[in-house]
Amino acid sequence: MKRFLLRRLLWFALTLFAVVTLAFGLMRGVRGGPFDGERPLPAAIERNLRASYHLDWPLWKQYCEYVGPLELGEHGARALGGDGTQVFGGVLSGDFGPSFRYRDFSVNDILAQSLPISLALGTLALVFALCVGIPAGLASALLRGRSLDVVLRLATSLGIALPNFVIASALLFVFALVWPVFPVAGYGSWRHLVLPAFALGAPFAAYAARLVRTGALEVLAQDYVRTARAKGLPESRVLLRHVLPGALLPVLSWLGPAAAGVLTGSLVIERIFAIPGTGSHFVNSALNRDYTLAMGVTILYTALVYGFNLLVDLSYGWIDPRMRAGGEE
Amino acid sequence: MNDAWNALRANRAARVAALFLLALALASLFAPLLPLPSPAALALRDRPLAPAWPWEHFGAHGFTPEYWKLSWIDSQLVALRERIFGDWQTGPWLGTDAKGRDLLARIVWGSRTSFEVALLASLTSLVIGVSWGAVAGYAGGRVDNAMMRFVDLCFSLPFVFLVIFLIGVVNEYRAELERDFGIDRETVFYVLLGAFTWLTMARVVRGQVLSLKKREFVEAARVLGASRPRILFAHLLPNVLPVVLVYLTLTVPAVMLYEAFLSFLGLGIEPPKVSWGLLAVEGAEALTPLSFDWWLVLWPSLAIAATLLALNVLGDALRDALDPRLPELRR
Repeated sequence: MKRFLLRRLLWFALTLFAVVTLAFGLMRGVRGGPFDGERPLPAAIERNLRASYHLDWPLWKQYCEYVGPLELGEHGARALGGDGTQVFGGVLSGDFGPSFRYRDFSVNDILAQSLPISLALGTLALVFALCVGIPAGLASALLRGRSLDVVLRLATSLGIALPNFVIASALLFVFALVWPVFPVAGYGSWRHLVLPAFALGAPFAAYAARLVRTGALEVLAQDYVRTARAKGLPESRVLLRHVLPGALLPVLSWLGPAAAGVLTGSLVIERIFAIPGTGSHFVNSALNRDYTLAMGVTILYTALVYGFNLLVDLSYGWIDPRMRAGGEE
Repeated sequence: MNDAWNALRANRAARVAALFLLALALASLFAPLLPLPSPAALALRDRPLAPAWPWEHFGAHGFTPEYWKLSWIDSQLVALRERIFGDWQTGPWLGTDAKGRDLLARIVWGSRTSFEVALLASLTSLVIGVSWGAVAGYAGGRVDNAMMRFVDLCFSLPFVFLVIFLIGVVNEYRAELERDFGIDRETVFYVLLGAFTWLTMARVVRGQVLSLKKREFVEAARVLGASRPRILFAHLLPNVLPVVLVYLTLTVPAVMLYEAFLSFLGLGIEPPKVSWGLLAVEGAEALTPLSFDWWLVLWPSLAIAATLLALNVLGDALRDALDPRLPELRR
C-alpha cells in the first residue's frame, strides 16, 4: 500500500514535470508575446515591460525561475518603480507568478477567485450525473426490453451523441426563456448553477446509465445473485447488497476520465452561462498568450485529474475486496 | 469471420445504421453534384426562412455557383451539376440561416468537413495506437513496461488543454504551413485530434497482442523462420483487426464531438467552410428571446445525433457479432 502510494506520487511528479516543460516550451516557442495589441507598443516601453517580467532572459533561466524558488541574480526592474522582488516565486513553492494580461493580479489570485466556482459547478454536475445515471441504468437493466428501457436507452444515446452546448442552449431556451424559473446567465446564487450543472452533467449521466445497465445485466446473470434469491432474500436486499456493488465497478473506474471530461466541458458551459470560473480564463489566456495564467490552469487541472484518479484507484480496494490497490502489476 | 458477417447482417438495427451511414457518405462525397443551393453564397437581405415542405416549395431557378476554394475534382463535379440541372436548385426544405444560406446545403457540405475530420483523426489514432500497442505487446518485458508507462503518463495529461495550446501555435504559423508545406490549418487540426486519441487504442491492441503471441500459430511461424516484423505484421495484426474495428466505431463519434467542442471555442473549422459542429454552434447561438429559429439548432443537432447513434449501434452490433464475451471497451 505504501509502495503503491509512493510510486504513484513519483509518477505524479514526473507528469507534472512533463506538463510544465511542455507547456512552457509551447508557450515560449511561439512567436507573439503577451504585450501584443491592436497598436504596437513603443519599443522602449515594450523593452522595459519585457525586462520587468524577465522575458529578456535566456529561456533556460526563465524556465528555472518559473519552476523553482531559485536565486538567479538581479530581480525586478527598479527603474520602473518595481519593488525589486522576484517575478515568480516558482511553481514548486506554490506561486504561479503574475498574470501578464490582468495587470495587478497574480495567477494565484485569479485561481483563488475562480477555482471554487468551477469546482462547485463540476462537483454538482458529477453528483447530478451519478444521481440520475445510476438509478436510470439500474431501472433499465431490471426492466430490460420494456418500454421504459427503450425510452431510457434512447435518452442515453441522445445524451452521449449531442454536444453539450446544444443541450445547454435547449435547457436555456426552455427553463430560462419560455418558462423563466432559472436565471439566464451569471453567477451569484445556487439558482445560477442549476442549469449549467444539468447541461454539464447530462452526457456523463447518460454514460453512467449505460455503464450501470451493462454492469447490472452482467451481475444479474451471475450464480451468486440466483443463490441470494433462492435463499429468499428480499428483492431490495438482493439489489442493494449484491447487484449494485458489482454494477458500480465500471462506473468507478470511469470516474477518473469523467472528472477530466467535466473539466473539459466546463470550458464550454462556463462560456455559455457567463460563469466566472477557471475554464473561461483558460481559453482566453491561451489565445492572449497570457503565459503564466494558461500554464497555471493547466498545471492545476493536471494535478486535479491526477489526484482524482488516485482517489478512484484507492477506492477500488474498498469497494471490491478482490482488487487490492497494490496488485496493479 | 464469416459467422460474424452473418450475425451482423441478421441484426436489423445494424443494417439500418449501416445503410444510413452509407447514404450519408454518398451524399457528402457527391455533394457538388446534388442540386443544392450554394452553401456559401450570402443573401443578406433575407430574414431566416422557416423550413418549407418540398411539395410547397419544391425548387427554384437562380443557382449561384459560389463556394470556398474547391479541389479540382469538386469543381468538375460542380460543372457537371450545372450541365445536368442548369441553374435549378432545391427550395429551403430545412430553412435558411440568418445570412440566407440554405441549411440543407450547409448540412450536406458540412458533413464533408465533419467526416474528413473523423476519418483523418481516426486514421491517425489508428496508425499511432496500433503500432504502439503492437510493438509494446510483442516486445514485452522492459520495452513494454516503458511504453505503457508512457501511455499512462499521457492519460493523466489534460490533453484538451494541450490541444488548445497547440492549435494556438498552428494558427500562428498557418501562412508558413500553407506556403512552405502545402498543408492547410485544418489538416493539422485533424491530425492533432487523432494524435490525442490513440491511447486507448494502444492499450486495447497491446492486450490483444499479449494474449495472441502465446498461441500456436505464432509459435509455428517462428519455427518456420519468420522474422519478427513479419510475425507482427502478417500474423498478429490481422487477428487484432476486429477489436480495432470495434474501437474505431467509438473513436469516430468522440472525434466528431471534439470537433464540435473546438468549433464552439472558435478554434476549429473557420467560416466560410462549414462543419456540423460549427452549424450546431450557430444554431445554439440563434436561440434568443427575440428570434425563435428552432430549425437552426434542430437539424444540425439531429444530423450529429443520428450519425453518432448509427455509429454506436453499428459498433455494438459489430462487437456482439465478433465476440459476445468481449468486455465493454472503455473510453
